[in-house]
Amino acid sequence: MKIKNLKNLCLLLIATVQVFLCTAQKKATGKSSKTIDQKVDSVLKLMTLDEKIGQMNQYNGDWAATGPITQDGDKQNQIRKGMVGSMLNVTGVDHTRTLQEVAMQSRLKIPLLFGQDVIHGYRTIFPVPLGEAASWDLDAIQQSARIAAIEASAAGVHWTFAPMVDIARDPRWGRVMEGAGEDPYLGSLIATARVKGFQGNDGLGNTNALMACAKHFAAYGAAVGGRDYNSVDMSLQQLYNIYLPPFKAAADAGAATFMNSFNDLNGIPATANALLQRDILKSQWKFKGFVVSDWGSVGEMIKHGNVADCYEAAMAAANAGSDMDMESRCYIENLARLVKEGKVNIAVVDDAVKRILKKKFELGLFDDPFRFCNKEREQQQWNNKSHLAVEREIAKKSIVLLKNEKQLLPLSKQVKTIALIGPFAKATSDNLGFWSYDWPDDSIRIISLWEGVKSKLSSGSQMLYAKGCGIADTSHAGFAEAVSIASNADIIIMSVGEARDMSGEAKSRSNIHLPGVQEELIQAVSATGKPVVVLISAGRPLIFNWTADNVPAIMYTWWLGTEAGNAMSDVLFGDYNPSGKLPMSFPLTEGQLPIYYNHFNTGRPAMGDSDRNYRSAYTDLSIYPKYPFGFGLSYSNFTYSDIRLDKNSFRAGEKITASVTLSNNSNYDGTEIVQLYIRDMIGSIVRPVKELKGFQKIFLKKGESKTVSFTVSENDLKFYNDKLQYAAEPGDFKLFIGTNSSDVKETSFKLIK
Amino acid sequence: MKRIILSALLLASLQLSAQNKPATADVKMNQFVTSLMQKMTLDEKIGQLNLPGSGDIVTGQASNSDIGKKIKEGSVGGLFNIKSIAKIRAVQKVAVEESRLKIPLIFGMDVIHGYQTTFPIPLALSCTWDMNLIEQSARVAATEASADGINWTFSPMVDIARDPRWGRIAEGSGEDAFLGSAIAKAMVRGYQGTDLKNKNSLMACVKHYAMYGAAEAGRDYNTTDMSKLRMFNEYLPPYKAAVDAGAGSVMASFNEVDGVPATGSKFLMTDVLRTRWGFKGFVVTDYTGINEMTAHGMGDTQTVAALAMRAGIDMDMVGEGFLTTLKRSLKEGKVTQKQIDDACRLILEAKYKLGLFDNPYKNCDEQRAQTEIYTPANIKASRTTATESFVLLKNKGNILPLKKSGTIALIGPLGDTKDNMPGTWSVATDFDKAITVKEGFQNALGNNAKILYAKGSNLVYDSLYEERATMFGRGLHRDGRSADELRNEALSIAAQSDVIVAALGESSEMSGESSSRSDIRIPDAQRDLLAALLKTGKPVVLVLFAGRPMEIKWESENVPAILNVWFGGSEAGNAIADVLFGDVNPSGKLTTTFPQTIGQVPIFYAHKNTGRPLDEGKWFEKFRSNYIDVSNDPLYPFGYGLSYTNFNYGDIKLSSTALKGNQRLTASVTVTNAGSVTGKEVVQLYIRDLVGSITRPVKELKGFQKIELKAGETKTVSFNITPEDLKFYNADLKYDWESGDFEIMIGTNSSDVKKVKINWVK
Repeated sequence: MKIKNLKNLCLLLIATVQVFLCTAQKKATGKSSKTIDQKVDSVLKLMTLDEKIGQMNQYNGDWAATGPITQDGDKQNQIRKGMVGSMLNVTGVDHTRTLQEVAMQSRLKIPLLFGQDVIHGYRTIFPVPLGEAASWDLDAIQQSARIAAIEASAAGVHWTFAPMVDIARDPRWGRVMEGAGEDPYLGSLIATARVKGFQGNDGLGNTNALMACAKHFAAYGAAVGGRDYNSVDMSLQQLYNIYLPPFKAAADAGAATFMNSFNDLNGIPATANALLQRDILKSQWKFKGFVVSDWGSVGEMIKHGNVADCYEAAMAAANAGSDMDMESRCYIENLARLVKEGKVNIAVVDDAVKRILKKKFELGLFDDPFRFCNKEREQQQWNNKSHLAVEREIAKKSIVLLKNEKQLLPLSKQVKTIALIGPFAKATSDNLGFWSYDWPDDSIRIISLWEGVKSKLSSGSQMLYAKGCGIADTSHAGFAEAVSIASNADIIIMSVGEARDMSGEAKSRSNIHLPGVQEELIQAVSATGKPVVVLISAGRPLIFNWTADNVPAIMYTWWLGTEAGNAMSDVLFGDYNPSGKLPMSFPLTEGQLPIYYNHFNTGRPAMGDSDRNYRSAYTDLSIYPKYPFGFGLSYSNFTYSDIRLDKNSFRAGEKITASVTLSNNSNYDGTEIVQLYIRDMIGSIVRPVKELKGFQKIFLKKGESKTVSFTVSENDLKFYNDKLQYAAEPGDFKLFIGTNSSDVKETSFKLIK
Repeated sequence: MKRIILSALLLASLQLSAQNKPATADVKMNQFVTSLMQKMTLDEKIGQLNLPGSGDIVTGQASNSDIGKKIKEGSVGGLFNIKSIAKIRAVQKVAVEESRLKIPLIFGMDVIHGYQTTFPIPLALSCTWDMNLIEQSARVAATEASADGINWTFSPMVDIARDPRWGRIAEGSGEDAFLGSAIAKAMVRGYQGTDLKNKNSLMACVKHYAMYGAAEAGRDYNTTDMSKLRMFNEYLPPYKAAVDAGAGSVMASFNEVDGVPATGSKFLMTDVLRTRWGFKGFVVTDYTGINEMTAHGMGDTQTVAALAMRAGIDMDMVGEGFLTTLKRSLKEGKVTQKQIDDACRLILEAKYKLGLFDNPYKNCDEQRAQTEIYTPANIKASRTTATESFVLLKNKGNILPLKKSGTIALIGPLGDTKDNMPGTWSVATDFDKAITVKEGFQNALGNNAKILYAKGSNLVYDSLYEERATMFGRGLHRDGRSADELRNEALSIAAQSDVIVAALGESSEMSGESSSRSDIRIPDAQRDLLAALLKTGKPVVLVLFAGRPMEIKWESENVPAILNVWFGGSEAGNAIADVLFGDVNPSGKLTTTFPQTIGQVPIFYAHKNTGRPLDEGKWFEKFRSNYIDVSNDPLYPFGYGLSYTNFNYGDIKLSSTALKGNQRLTASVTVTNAGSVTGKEVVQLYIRDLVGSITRPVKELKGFQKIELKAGETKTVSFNITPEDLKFYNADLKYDWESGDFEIMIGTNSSDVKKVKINWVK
């Protein structure tokens, strides 16, 4: 970065910070927060510049690492000197107590914060976030985060680097597994649920509340080519309408912290992006927490070519509003000099330190730095059986039934011979997915599909097993055995998918077909003519067209966590009627990417696959995805009546109610996720062909009917226009209600000025 | 000889445009147009803004046709895609004799890569990296089209495209803004000549303004969305270059940009085009571009027509949104009289500049039509240009060039098809005269060698797909025999031959408008054929026809020699023979990146570094920006192309490594032809700005020189670099350069370069 430009930037930023601080003070009305603010001020007054900068410095414990580690000296010594504000990847009461004791030897005895990637569970592993999102069950999602918080906080952790709320439309990107899919509305609700779950309903201060961290701010999911860490470029409207809403929701839900992202956004790395961190987050959204960098992202701006060295990186990041430096050491090594040289105003440092100290006060760490270090609680939560039961519940709800021809499912528990085939049939830790912890007793604790099925079957049933192939194998050596046991079975369950490290951070794939020869194995087994059920475990939408077109029953099982095998078996044998719905579009081929349901109409929309010439379509591929957003079947058969509106138009301040009668015409009780979509027919800017604006999970007994109603207000019609004003525009709207984004009933209404 | 004259003309034109043209011409034009407009009714003014779809004109009945009636009423400003002087003369006659004010029509046509003498498709043309040849191709096109009644061409298409799925990548100059800008200028100069008044000038129309090539997922007409920064640095430069070169008109694009359809974007049409760039010509929509804003969701016809008018659109192609609603919109205050007047004035000025008021029939000279179209000189120019556009991708064991003796098996559905030689968008070509590969071979070999031909396979197994891929009569005459029969026939002639030339790839209509493909491999039937041919063990040369970069990783690993021939125009077959048999040494260089797999798309050379780039020489590292299943490298990088000879590059010599202010840096390398034949090399200069106020590309093309070296010859190639070459649009969209370190790179393609570091301060 060029110094001359920076000076101007600095002045600007200082002005922004000062204005912000003034407004912040004025608005701080709550009594308790006033006391905390006063306490923060009184601590700040005692601090030397070096101690302040120390609070902005975060180191990794040496137990795990997700990025290139910078070598450094004795960390404990630095903690003792007040040079460290937080540690990540330090867990367990013993470890955290040890380091906190060192912090208590520092001059000001400011407690450390312990942060950890608690993404989908800690001791009890829940479905990967994308899988949980498929449950569309906000209570369940909140509960899963709650349990993660209970378990992690019992192990000394204060702070989780979750929820990840990045909208993602490209399944090549490995980190789609960590988010809630492609939709900003669903993503926002899930962001809120996760923040509330981690932080608890009563918020920080309880010993079982973890600070949440909304990440990765922002637009990380739009990496070019789905290649992790890649550049991101988009218009501000797209940023505001699609990518920011879940972050806004997380901030509104009181997320204590934000993490910035690795990517550059429109030429500026997120870490040095003042528009994101200062203008939007801290000013427009009035976010009171602090922003931590992603691992090394301050220093990585050198590689971005946005700064020449760590000195410039620290200047750019601090001025842009990154409050804490995770592991790049740019702050600790340069900030003091930058302040002395006038490149970073002390007000910038003070603001960051206050934000960090405030959270430490809110967590109660100044009162008792060891309040999360309770050995007894740690042991209590280590094997909390009730948590496993909750895990099993949400795992069931996350499963998406993609196909069930001739009602092959559910299976009978009296089946005579059942064959389990495929690399996941006896898998244990591969059920956990990326971003999960390996515990010593995993092989016993994690329920494999094999065990799950076994527990369901009557004593007279026989179980056969063949692996057939490994996940990424190129060899057909195991096919013969698989085909042979298949021939002897009455029903075959094939469990296939991605290894747990095939989706996740830095796990982008250019080819998102089922890995290795697994689909060939499915073909070989199917050739026996026996009925085959395929279960697909993955962290992303995969491509499996042959299977989809030829196998009678398919369930998408993501990575379901500790109770995976039980949850799958609950659904397979009908103890639970599947209700999950896809939170992302599944493409037909990689050549169709990106494909998502809330696209624009274009000037030449294709109306179907027979209407391609001079239409926005490929000459060689359908215009439709393989499975649309919101898709998922049930053992029940739900029918929708036409939509009834209580009126055809309404004004701002009024509401309109849309109802359908939902009937369960089947012999199974079941749950349906009824989805409401709206289309703004004419806008000052082009508007998506559909946007999810509501959904309800409805349980219906067999034969039962219910009226499902949605109210729509002006608020539901708002969007950011090309001046980035958030407003609804009067005019015609279409309203859709249906079982997925493609299969809907339709009506229309007007918003009147 | 012709070339010398051409460059002399060129020089003159440069000098002319360098000085400000005498203001008197402008004054005269203003007076003329003003006085004409004073006579015009509102309806007549709106009529000038109308470019209706005319359908075919039946000579002798022009006056009584529907379109004739409209012309008489003064409701038509121009017509397009009418071919033949007789028809054009007939409708022009209606305009200048039967309409009240006798305002001549302007006649447009999609003259995209040549007229009757068809040149290689624009993507191929760009691979010549030869601005003189490219300009010449446009000049020939202009000469022929203007001799056949046309005044105006909807070309050049200058859309930057980074997604090979997009069919219209065939129509542009590839992925690079710098090269694209140079070509845009050359094309405009070629079409417009020294003066639009000249009878052999065509008015150029720069399209598709703007960002059409960034269609999401490479699907034609799809949404584009990007930051202003990216627009200004990566997509807008070629449009600006064309405007700077004096392009008379601009066409608005179909897509929306950041939520607003280009046709309704005041930001694009007025703020950037006219205010920032000072464009003085008129803007026409694309085909029904105004009406399509209804589908975009911007309102009914009146609303979108008014939106377009307010944005700065002057002429409405086909949809008649202006014609049918502008008057009402004026009454209702949705548009102003001034907006209509301004649009009308710009169109009348264009006609004035073309000299149509002096002679409405200036392009209806039967004599010219007979003597200036499809001339031997033009045909020769087309052939030469085609040979320079081919890119030699692989030549293992130097199996190319082929000997002009023995028995050659020519196999493949593209081996003998006149219809598929000229390429997409060749509306005036004479397919019957196009030279196929087989004919080219016959012409080159005579009786010296034996040529056996077999189709070997159909284009693709799916006959319905073949129908879609062979529209507009570009049939491939689907063979009813089974795939096995076809293949066996091919294998049997292969068995009798010394070498197999496999003419495979896309049909010409598999790229172009509305021809996006999700799968950009060689179609299935032909892949199977190729595999069977390779199994024979005979040497195989793949002659690859393509309108886009294709996914040919398997081919690159298994076929010994690959010559990418795009669609070479009228003389394709002769040109292919010229290169295959060594009469011309190939020198084309890719202007788009070839991906290893579709899952890598978009992949382009001028990407950002990211915060976690791979270390040099690594294909995968944990926690770096890469895929776990494929390297970040393209199959073939931008700028890549082989020759029958080898060029060695010396190290870069610099005039200085520490520069200040407006100094000039000279960077030189020696290039040696280390082989045994004369060859041409495109020496490429790239620069990287190592630290920027915004993240900067890992390299950007900033210069190139196409040189010819005799066997054993060495030349020093020097590039002069000034701070102008370091400029970019910063976060405030200010075009400026920043002090700091830069890498200067020179090499044979964007991946294979010599590198030195310099420091340059303000």
